[in-house]
Amino acid sequence: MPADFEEFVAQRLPALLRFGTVLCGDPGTAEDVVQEVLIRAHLKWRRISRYDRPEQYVRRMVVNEYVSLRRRLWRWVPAATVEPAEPVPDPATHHAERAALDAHLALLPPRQRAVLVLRFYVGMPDGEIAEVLGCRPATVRGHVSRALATLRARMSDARPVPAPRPRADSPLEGT
Amino acid sequence: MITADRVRDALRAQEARTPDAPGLLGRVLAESSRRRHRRRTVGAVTAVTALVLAGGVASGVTRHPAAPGPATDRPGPPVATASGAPDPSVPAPPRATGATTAQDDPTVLGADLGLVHLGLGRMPAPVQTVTWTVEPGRESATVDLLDAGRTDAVRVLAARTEAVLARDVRGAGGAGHTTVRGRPAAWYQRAERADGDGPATYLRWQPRPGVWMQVAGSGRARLAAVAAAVRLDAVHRCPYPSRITWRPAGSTGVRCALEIVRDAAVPGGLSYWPTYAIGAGGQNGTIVVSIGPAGSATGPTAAPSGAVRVGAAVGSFATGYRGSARLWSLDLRYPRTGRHVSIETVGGSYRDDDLLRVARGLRGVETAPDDPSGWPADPLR
Repeated sequence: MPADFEEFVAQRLPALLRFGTVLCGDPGTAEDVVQEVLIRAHLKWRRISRYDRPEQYVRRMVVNEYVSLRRRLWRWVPAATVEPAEPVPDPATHHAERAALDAHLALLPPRQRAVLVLRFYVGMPDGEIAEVLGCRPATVRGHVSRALATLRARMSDARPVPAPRPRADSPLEGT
Repeated sequence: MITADRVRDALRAQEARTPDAPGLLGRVLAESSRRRHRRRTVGAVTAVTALVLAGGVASGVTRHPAAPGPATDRPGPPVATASGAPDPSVPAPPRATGATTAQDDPTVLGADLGLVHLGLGRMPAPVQTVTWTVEPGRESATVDLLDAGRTDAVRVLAARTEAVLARDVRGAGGAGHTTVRGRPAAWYQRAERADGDGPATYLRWQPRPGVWMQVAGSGRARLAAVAAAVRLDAVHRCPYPSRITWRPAGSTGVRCALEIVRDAAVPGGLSYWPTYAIGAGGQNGTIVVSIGPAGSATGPTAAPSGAVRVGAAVGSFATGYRGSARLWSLDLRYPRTGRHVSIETVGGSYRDDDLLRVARGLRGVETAPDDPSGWPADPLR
């Protein structure tokens, strides 16, 4: 692992941006989140570089920044409506379903989305996910279960997909 | 049916939208440099406030039993510091011509916020950043040395009395003796603190009667080398690019600092980050005004709501806590030059209205050159 911050960024930035994009579901937000995290990491790089796995620590910072950012955004993102995927013949059906799934993934509470990304995209075991999010492994399994149940319910629902709007944090948050 | 495989496929498909983000590293380094500068600025001013509240060069601080004895008034070797031509590898503020050096008269140390009487010769490692600071009764240079890709800070502090230095070694114990250019010197050691602040080593000595020096950082060999490079035979200016035409009633300058950063991206290879603090003592606290060079406003400074306009500049307020002290800050972005101005107060009685008045009273931010040789010495005149 490189001890030099610039070398670390040169080696790991593409992977961090990919992870950020999948986590945030939006390239612009991902760039902002990764930039903010790297600024903070640079300020305490002497300490981070001594860790066994600095990249894991930085990735944890990315997750925390994303969760924190999403909570702040709930307060002011204007309400809007995303049109539903129209039932169309194959092969467009597949793409429409994918678009709908993307939209529903974007609406999940941030911790639930983070858990799905860490488990299904990164392939982390629940113990490590719990470490990243600062919760118990049982809580991780609960997030996965609720997230999948929510997706199943919404994907079978024909109503339009609501975009993020001001609301209280989900009761599933912070567990 | 939603399965784990479908979720996995959907997430992986989003990889294709990953941005290229050219220039991200440059933005990260510039912004972290700006934040580090702000953090250092406010942290140091808190120390100055404590000094002012305690009555300046207080006499009630007891000398550590391991400290070297005071140099006598006999002539002896007059000054035990480096001398000769200045070392160009150590970035320094513009020279002041015709001013009395601390070598000739120690009472000039910390007597004029516009003058730095401290100097540094060749350092034991390449220098990345130096912050030169003048406060009432003391002067300092904080040097970031490059070592195997990391920077390691060493702080050189000069004062007219040992009591001023003793404040910095609170919690440290005596750890042996040595000499610096033939003068007796004492080591102090502080263990890692509960708040995560790392261990520190201090070396204190008296290069001549009336002057106390202290070097703080890590690594005894490195600190000894820095101590041997300290010099008192030159005077530099602590200039400031703007005039501060409004300040709270009763306040005056309590700190001037110039941070000089090696930056290959700017003409001349150095960027200059000046800071000036004003305060009235007592419980009022201080207001710190830091000005970045052209293009330094890299971070978002204007929130969608609550944006503030000050002349041509656009900015925003933020408030929070630094430690247990209340923090107010006003960040301004000047559109023509891209200069960033940060006005902060921590603790004390000043509030956002005071910061806004200070901002409105700033003159010359957009027209000042980046080179400090043309800046005036006193922003309050």
